[in-house]
Amino acid sequence: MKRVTDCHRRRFLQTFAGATLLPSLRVPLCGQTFLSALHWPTRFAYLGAHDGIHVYSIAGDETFIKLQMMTSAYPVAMAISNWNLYVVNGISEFAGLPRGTAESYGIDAWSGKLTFRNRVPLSLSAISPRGLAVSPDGSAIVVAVHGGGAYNVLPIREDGSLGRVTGILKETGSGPHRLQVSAHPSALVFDSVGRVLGVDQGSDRLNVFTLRNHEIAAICRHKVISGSGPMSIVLHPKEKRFFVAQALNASISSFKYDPSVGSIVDHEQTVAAPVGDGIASLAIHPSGKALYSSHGRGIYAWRIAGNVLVHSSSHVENVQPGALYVTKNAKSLFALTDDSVLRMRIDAFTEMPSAPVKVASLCKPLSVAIV
Amino acid sequence: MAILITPDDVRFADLKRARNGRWPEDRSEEVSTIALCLSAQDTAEVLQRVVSAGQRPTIRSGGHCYEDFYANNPKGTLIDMSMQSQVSALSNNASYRIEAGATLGRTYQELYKLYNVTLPGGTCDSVGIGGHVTGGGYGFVSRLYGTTADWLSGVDILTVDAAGKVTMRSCSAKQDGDLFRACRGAGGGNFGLIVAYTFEKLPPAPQEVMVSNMIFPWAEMSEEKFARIFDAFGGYFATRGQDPDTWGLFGVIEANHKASGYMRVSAQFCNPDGTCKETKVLDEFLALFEGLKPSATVPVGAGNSSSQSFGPHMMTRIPWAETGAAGGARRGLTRGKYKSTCMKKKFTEYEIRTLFKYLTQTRPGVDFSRTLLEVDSYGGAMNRKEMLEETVAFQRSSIMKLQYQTYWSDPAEDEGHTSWMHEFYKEVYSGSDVDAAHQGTPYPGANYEGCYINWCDRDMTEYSYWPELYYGPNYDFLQQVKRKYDPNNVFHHAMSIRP
Repeated sequence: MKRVTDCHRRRFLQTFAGATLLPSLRVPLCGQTFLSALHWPTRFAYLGAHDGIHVYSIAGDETFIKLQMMTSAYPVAMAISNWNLYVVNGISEFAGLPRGTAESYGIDAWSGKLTFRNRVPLSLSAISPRGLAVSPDGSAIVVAVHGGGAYNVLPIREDGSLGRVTGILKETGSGPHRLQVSAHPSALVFDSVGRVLGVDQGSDRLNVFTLRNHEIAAICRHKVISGSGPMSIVLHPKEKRFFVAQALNASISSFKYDPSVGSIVDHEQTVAAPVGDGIASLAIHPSGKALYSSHGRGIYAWRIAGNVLVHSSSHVENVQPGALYVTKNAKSLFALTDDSVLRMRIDAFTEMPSAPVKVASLCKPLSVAIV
Repeated sequence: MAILITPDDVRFADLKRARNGRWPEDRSEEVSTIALCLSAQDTAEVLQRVVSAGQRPTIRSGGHCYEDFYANNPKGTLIDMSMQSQVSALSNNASYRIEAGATLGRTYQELYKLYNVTLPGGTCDSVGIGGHVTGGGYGFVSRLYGTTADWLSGVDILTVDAAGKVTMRSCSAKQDGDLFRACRGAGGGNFGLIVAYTFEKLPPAPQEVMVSNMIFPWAEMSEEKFARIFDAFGGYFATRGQDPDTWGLFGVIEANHKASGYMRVSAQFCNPDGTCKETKVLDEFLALFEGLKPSATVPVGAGNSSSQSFGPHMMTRIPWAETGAAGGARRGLTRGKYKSTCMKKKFTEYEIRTLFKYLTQTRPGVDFSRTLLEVDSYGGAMNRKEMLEETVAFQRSSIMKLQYQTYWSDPAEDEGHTSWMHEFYKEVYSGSDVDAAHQGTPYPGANYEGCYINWCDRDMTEYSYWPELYYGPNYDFLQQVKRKYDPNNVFHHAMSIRP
């Protein structure tokens, strides 16, 4: 299989002729680690929207410059691993059958542009998938299937493409809210060991799963407040706790987590969001000292002090973000709204976000990934 | 205690297979466990374990499903009901209970020998009752008595509630009436796991039937003769076949592909009183084909010493008990593709021309010697309009039911057979009688009444309106029932009711 970035990598090496850098490389020159080791000068943003995936380069001043648009069916979630972009299509039917799909794209490290690799169907009845995470070893993706009430595991092949579904976990459960007539896995995240933490908006349940041989099995279940509708999850960088945003009662909860065994130890705290309900999203600062949330029409910042979550005065009103994203360099918090991408600078000292600035106009952005 | 068969068991390789050798399509679709359940309690326990483990259950009674509905279940559990096959009477032989794993052959035999009644079910003895009845199964005596679903009075069914708890329900018109109605025509694998059926009453078994076959060799066939056979057959059931005294006549055109050498028109008949003392109706029907000169009029079972001629036509008198025999359950030997149509009118010239074209067509590398269009007579008691409200089998105006069938053994012929069948079917329903929005399908209207869910055809999901083809105006109702009794969509397959 041809590596999509071969040509550009060669050009890059010739350009930089980085003799002093070469001895420090852990992999051959064609390895992708090389690229990241050099602090690649340009970053790229991938925005999933109703009409497809929009690719941007992010300039030094954090403005977005449009590079490419790839057609993709309702790319509701995406994740990047090893210069591959994985996308979940939040659709309800594919090839006449009730199921969503997942896609793989190669990322050209030089230009940031995408090359379509493949699209594979999820399991039968796995409709309206919503969440996606890549395993730490890059060998599989796990999909949270909101509509079909299930989790799917898809292996990642050596060339970065996706294999057929190898693991299916069908969930049952419900809650008292009218939107909770059945299980609705919404979001998931991997811990560093390779376990999956998933939240189920329909059954008010948090779950921990293991992956073995690309099959998935539950090892811990934890009920949360009835009718709360957990929708989003972030794991603290130290992995001793995680935070869950609940959509149906506009709250955030923190839970103590034991990463050595994959156990949800305790519910630590639940705080009410200052305003509204609706879509609930979370993002966490890489320091682990600040949490950002959106509920309804506002974005809020929280200080994490030990096991206590304290609402900061910093907030942005009258935006309706669908997703939040903190860059790895911790300089920016991005929020997707109905018609744009907003950027908030994160203060290096206080870790609180500034007032938002529109960096891109886009109709109904759904998902974001930045490399 | 259920018997759990896993891949390390020597029986697994055989038992995982579907009767249709195409399924499972590859190893990634295979189940991880086959659970042979010996009782209703076993079944409930296994189902609970499967659901709690986050697996998907699929269900097999006879295993005749044309598509991959139970065989395609990656690492799931196949719940096999074939060991639950008891046929019994309840309280003074006034009602009957048939377990879901019973085959039609066994059911017919036991109902006849023990109780002198019958179920107006299908013609294939090894079909399991579990899927057949809930799909609105019909057969040789259905014009006389109606469909199996018409006689149904109760269903024992395991459902899975919102919390994932398995519950046994005995539904009837008075208890969970919506679920009961949905089970009368929706087809298997939709709402729960059917354990047994109850029939408060069943029709008397006919005392005897007359059977006759007319053979039309392809060597003597012309397009004009072909058209006259179809016209005579369809014309009869569109007119004279509507009269109640003919309802005991069940006719079939076995329109084999030219490669098989012959076509056959057959009929089974008994009078409404269950006897064959008078054969005027059958004689009338057979006379329609006299001018077409069948090369032979042979009775069922060549060489049968009881073969006789009664009056002007050759026919055989067969005691009722000899018309059904329990069949085996050979799995995976034959590959097949099927399609269906319910027809409200006799064949049009365009349809006949298209049938002739495809049944005489050859394609490189494709052996059509086991390919046929089966045209069954329909109507009679099956068209009683009062059953529209009691069941969800909406096809109550049809006069014929067509089953397109092609069989082969070599997987290398898969594409050749399936694509040919696809083209064939699409072209038959692309005439000027089909409106632009529904070209390629027998969309319910003046001429057609859609398709039959027991002869399921996954290809039809390419049409967004496929539920209307199979369920007519009842799909909304079925979706409500689905959401109520299977809120987590635990029971699903390619053509199951969408939540």
